[in-house]
Parts: sequence; structure tokens; C-alpha cells
Amino acid sequence: MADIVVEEVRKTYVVRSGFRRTTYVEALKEVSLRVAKGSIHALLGPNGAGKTTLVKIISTLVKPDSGRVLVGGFDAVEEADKVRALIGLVLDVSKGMYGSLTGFQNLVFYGLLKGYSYSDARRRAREVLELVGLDEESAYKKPYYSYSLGMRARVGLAKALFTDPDVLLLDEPTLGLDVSSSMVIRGMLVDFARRGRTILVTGHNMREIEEISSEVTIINRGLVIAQGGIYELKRKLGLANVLSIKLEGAGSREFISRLKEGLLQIIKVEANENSVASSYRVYARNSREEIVDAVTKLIKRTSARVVDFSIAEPSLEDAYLAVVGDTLRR
Amino acid sequence: MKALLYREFVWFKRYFPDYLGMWAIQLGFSIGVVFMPAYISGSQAYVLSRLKTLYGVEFTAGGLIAFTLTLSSLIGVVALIVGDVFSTLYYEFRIAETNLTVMEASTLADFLFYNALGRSSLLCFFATLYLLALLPLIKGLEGLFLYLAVLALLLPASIVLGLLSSILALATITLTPVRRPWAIANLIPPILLASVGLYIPVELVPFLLRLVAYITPLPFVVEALQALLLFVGQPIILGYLTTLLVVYTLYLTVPIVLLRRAERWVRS
Repeated sequence: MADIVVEEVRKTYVVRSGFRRTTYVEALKEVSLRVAKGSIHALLGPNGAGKTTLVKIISTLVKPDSGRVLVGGFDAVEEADKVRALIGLVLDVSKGMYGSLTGFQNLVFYGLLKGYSYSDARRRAREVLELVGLDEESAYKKPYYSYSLGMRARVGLAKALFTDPDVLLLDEPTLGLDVSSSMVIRGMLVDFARRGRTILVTGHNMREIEEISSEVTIINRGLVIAQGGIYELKRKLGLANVLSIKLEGAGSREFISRLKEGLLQIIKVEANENSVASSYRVYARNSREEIVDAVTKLIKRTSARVVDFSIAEPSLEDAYLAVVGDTLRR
Repeated sequence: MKALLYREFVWFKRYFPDYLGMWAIQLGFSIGVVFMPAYISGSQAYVLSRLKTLYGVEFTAGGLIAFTLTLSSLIGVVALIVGDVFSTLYYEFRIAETNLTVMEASTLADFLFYNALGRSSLLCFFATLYLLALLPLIKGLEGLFLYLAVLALLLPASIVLGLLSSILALATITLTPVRRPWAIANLIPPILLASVGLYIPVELVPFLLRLVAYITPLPFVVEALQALLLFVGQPIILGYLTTLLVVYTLYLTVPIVLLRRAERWVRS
């Protein structure tokens, strides 16, 4: 069952660049996606693709011009209050908080806005701050404007988790964070998904996204250009696995030419040959198992000695570039 | 409302020295700008006789001080509320973007309404606090009642002013490319104060400026304040109170309806 359903959503913004000049920007042309309950779904795309607009529409902050958005079965336009009760949102980790209030005070303010009693808001603020691991001195004594980006991201996540929501909408939650902070936040997200929360996350760091997400939607210029499971997406795009192999002996060239002659579907070969040992990078459209099988067969049949070999699978970044890079060039 | 009260309390604790400065400036302004020139222009007897000609009422020296101090509190209230609403909303919408947090958790119309209600009331209270100390000092127990009556007059006017300023600020921030809204905020109080009958009778104000003044309930408030200070204890006050009740109902209803529409602008 899908927890978030987006059907043919369109949105055009009116941008005023002067008192009388207005321009229209089509942020979303026709976007549809489904996010399964308990999964982490990544929304990818270049800057200005429409990711943040879509997150704002799902979170009821902005109304779509047409189309339908359901969150937990509730319509984001008609039943906005019910949707708001279900979601936790991080939009921009450095925005949305009062600079002169501490992290704790900002969270209490948010809790009171959400209808918590004063004592419940304070108790819950303490709980979520502990959950995201913000140190006590910063959380309770220092004003928010003095926080580092990592600390702000933690407060943002604490705010998103304040109501213990079923659905988390996170727009670039690790943007600008150091390695350890973003690792901690990634770990938290995986943990939340394991506990049955549905997470829609946007970002530009493909390694991070690949590590935590099971499904992706890639949008560009307001249109969905690819969608599905990460593995299926790579397969569908026919991206090559890369065999890196180091050979010794006279049969090195023969080894590679026999690989080319029907054993593997090779796209290209990069060679670095010398008299002692030769290194090759072979780009093949075969599965990992087929490549291992072909190399094992040739070891027995040729005089070349395999010194080292490894197989690198295509990354989400390769898939993303294959899809978006193509549209960017158009 | 709870959230806003909490925010105000935290801000008050953090910015207490700023508030002290605000009170000190307000007091200095009241005495220096409004009261002193009258005394500088001639002897006390001369000033009192001229004011009798102007208002048709016999003033005592204490009564004159109370009169000038109280009227000047309106200047402080208008300047503070318009300036504060503009700068706070600009900060919330364009710098901290806390409006998104509010819109995510609640409705913007409710937030702006309670913001105008709570913050404007607090600012009105702070801006007139010096009267609480000075009026009883000048007029004894009568001064205390006078202070309470002035506060009762100014509080609803402050809320209306807060609501109208919120709508104007919101329109300026979301519908125009203005990057320095405080420049507009700084212009509004002098225009309003020049046209509401505080310095010259409202009938003598040019027609267009008078129209601007009647967007707010301030002309009625100035009239009621003068009546309160000049005709204390007389039945004429009841007439002003009835008018004000009708005026405040009307002036509160229109901005609330407009704020509901503002929610739609911002979310679209």
C-alpha cells in the first residue's frame, strides 16, 4: 500500500521581478509517484528540477494547480489538517527557526503551535533532542543563530520527529554537513524506516541516497524522467559493469580478444599494456556472475596469468548521469 | 496563541535591556517633544490660557502635563506597532522563513491574527507603561483610573493597527519585489499621525490624507482620548464609547476576513 500518492501534479509559479513585470515558471509539468509504506524513496534531480516544490505540495505548504496528492489516504488540499498531523518536515536545514531562541525553545514553540500543552511540549522537545543527539549546552543555552550546520540539521530533524509522524518529508537533510554528521543522520533515517515510517528524501549526494533508499524518482524541468527500484533502474538503463583486470604473460592480448569474441557484451576496453604486466578496464553489459564465469573459463584456456581482478557495479550516480546528463545536454 | 505567548516571553527575557531603552526613549520623547515646547513658548499662565482658547476647557498645570503625556503615548503606540509588525514579518518570511514552520504546523491566518492580538497588545502595554507611573503621580487615584481608561481605548486600536499592518506587510512581502520593507514601515506612522487629528483637527486634514486616516480607527481614538482627558466624568464620554464599540467591531471584522484570504495567496 502506498503512503504517498502523487498523481499528475502541475504547478506554475508567478514570479515578480518588478512592480509590473511578472513571469510564469512551470515548476511541475506533470508529476506522478508512489511511495510505499515503510520505505525510503529518493527524489532526485538537478537544481531547479521541481523537487522542493513537490515536497512543499505534499506537505500542504503550497497548493498544486491541478492533480491529486494523497498522504496516508488523505487529500493534501481538501484534508490539509489531517495530512499535517501525519507528516514531519525538513525543508532547509538552516531555515525555519527563530535565531534568537535556543534549539529547545524553538522546539517548544513548534510543539505549542501543534497544539501540545506547555509541559508536554517541553517533555517532547527534550526527548527528540536526546534522540538526535544534540549536546545539552547547545540545545538549552545557546541561541540557534550560533549553531553549526550540523547542529541545525539535528534540530531540523528533531522538529520533524516532534509529533512522532508516520511520514517524513526531508528536503536535502544532509546538505552541507560534515561526514560524521551526515552518517549519523543517514543511520537515523534507516532506523526510522525500519520502524515503519515512510520517508521521502531529496538530495544530490548519490552515494548517500543509494545507501539508504530502495526506490528513486528522477525529475528534471518538472517532469519525471526515470522511476523505480535502484537496481531495476540500472538494469533498465543497460549500464555497464566494469571489470578491472591485471594480466601477466604472453597471452594477455589473447585473453582480452577472446573476452570480446562473444563471451561478454563489451562496450569498450581501456588498456594499459607494458612488457611486464597489462591492466585493462572492460565495460560489459553482463551481470557480475556472467563476468566471473567468463574470466574463470579464460584462465583455464589462455596462457595469461591473472594477477588481480575486480568488478565494479554501476552506481546510482552513473544511472543519474545517464538519465539527467542526457536531458541536460538537450 | 500559547506558542506566541511563549515566544514573546522568551524574547522579553532575552531583549529586556532593549525594552528598557524603548521605555526611556518613549518617556523622553513624551516630555521633550510634546510638553516642553509649550512651556518654552511662554509662561505657564500664558500656555494655559492659550490651551483654554484652543480646547475650550480650563487646564491645571498637572492636567496639561497629563494631557500631553497621554496624547504622545499614541505616537509611540503607532510607531512601535507598524514598525515592529513590518520588520518581524519580513524577518519571518524572508530571512528565518519561520512562516513555513507555522504553515506546516497550523494556519497562517490564525498565527497572524494571534500575533496581531498578542504582540500588539504587549507593545501597546509597554509603550504606555510610563503613564502607569506618571499619571497617578500627577493626579493621584484619578490618574490611575485615567491610565486604565487610556489603555482600554488604545488596546483595541493597537490590535486593529497590528492586523492592518500585518496585511499590508504580507502584501508588500509576497506581492511586490520590495527588499527594504522597513522603508515603507517608517513612512506609515508619520502619514497616519499627521492625518488622524492629533496635531491638527481631522476636519482640516486634506481629503486624501483623511481617507488614509480612516482606514484605521485612529481618528475616532484621538477624539475619544481628547474627550476622556478634557471631559472626565461627563456623559459625553458614553457617546464616544458607543461609537468606538461600533467602530472597533467594524475595524476588526474587515482585517480578519482579509487575513483568511491571505492564507490562500501565500499557499498558492
